[in-house]
Amino acid sequence: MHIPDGFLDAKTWVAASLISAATVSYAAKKTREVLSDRQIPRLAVMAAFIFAAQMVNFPVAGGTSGHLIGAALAAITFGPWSAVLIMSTVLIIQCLFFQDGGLTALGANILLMGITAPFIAHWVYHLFVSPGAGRSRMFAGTFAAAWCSTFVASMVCALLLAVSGTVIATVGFPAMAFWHAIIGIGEGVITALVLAYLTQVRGELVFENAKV
Amino acid sequence: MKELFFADNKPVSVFHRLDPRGKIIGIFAFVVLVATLESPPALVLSLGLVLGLNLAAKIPATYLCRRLAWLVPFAGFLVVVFPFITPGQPVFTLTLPFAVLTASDAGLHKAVVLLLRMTNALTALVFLTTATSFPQLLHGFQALKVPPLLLQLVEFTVRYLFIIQQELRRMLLARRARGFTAGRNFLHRHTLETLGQLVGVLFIRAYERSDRIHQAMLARGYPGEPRPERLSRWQKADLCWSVAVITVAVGLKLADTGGDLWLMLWK
Repeated sequence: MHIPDGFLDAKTWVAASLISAATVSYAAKKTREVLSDRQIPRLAVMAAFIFAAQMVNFPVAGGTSGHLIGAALAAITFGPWSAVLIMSTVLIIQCLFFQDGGLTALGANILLMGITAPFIAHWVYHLFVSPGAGRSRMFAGTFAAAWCSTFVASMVCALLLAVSGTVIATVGFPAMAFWHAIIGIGEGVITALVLAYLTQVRGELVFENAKV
Repeated sequence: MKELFFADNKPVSVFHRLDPRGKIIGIFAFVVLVATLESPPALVLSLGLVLGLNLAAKIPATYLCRRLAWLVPFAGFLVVVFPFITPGQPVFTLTLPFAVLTASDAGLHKAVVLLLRMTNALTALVFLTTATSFPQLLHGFQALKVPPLLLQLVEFTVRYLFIIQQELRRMLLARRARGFTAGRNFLHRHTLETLGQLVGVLFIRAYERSDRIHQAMLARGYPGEPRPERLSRWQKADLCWSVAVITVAVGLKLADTGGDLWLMLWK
């Protein structure tokens, strides 16, 4: 879903960058209140973890594979504001050093995968799962959260590309919807399995941090 | 990739010695303007210039190609897809077993323009990140008022990126040694369960490592805030370089927007 340089027109990428810059700086303030001085090593190592987790491919169908975005996992375990910082850090490094996503499109990519995806995941998760919910409910809630985060982020991506006149809406929306509805299942199942595993072996770790 | 961050960056060319702020501003302005160019000739010209810049900075061609190669899967996909999804005059038709696809002239044009823009921007970024050492780059961003928290996060993440990746590789190797083979699709339950546990264990290991790192930092007297780093003053050469790069980019943009007009005048 990384948008490269040249795909967005000036008005779109400037607008996306402004929204992202404002959100990221608010997230920095918000996280600082809760995580104190431990935040930097904690968030950075978890960003490195998300980076590595994105390298794990899962089979989709017919020999093709997809990989995790990780935004839902970060949002559910660390809360949406910390997830914004974690994902933004990952996206900045990918853009500058790994040729993944453009420089002018960095704000847009943060908007998709660093803001939209974690917040959608956070909202959907808390819609389904209230404190003290059972394991199967948590599993379903996590799946829904991760699927929705992938799907909605891809729709915002299609919107940005359509507004820029790069991919016409009648092609962009159905194509992105189709592909990410499928990819989202992988994201959903794996995120749910990871969460199930984490709550089983280190339950306190998941719930302690998700307060932000 | 490691050498990009941790290499002992000796200034091998005059460009390596330029002020990082100047390089950041110059390259950012270049990318912003080049990403809006519409005509292939202007894009090819700017690609030539930015490749020349890489050459002048003594960046090895093999290294440049290796970094640009990351673009291939994505760019290839777009170049194949774009001609068929953009409306316009049909140029040729492909008859596939399941569908008949028509490529349009507007679509082919768009594919070429997007590919050139992407290559331009990436080549410029390879120059910036190779001709500037990682710490210098961070100091440059800091001097340009990028929030320190974000820069610290980037710095720390890069530091642990390769450690976590190594951990992951070891785990994947161990998984293979236990005789694991991945299923063909995501209905394969065992594959997914193994993947979920793999990512889960990696999560816990990363999490616990971050605690140890924090304690080690405190033990060494980490003040909780980074010490501000001072960059030397701007030299004339830095200013000249930035102005030159921005002028070239603006010139390309003007030639690009004025291209049709000039053609009309000539006719």
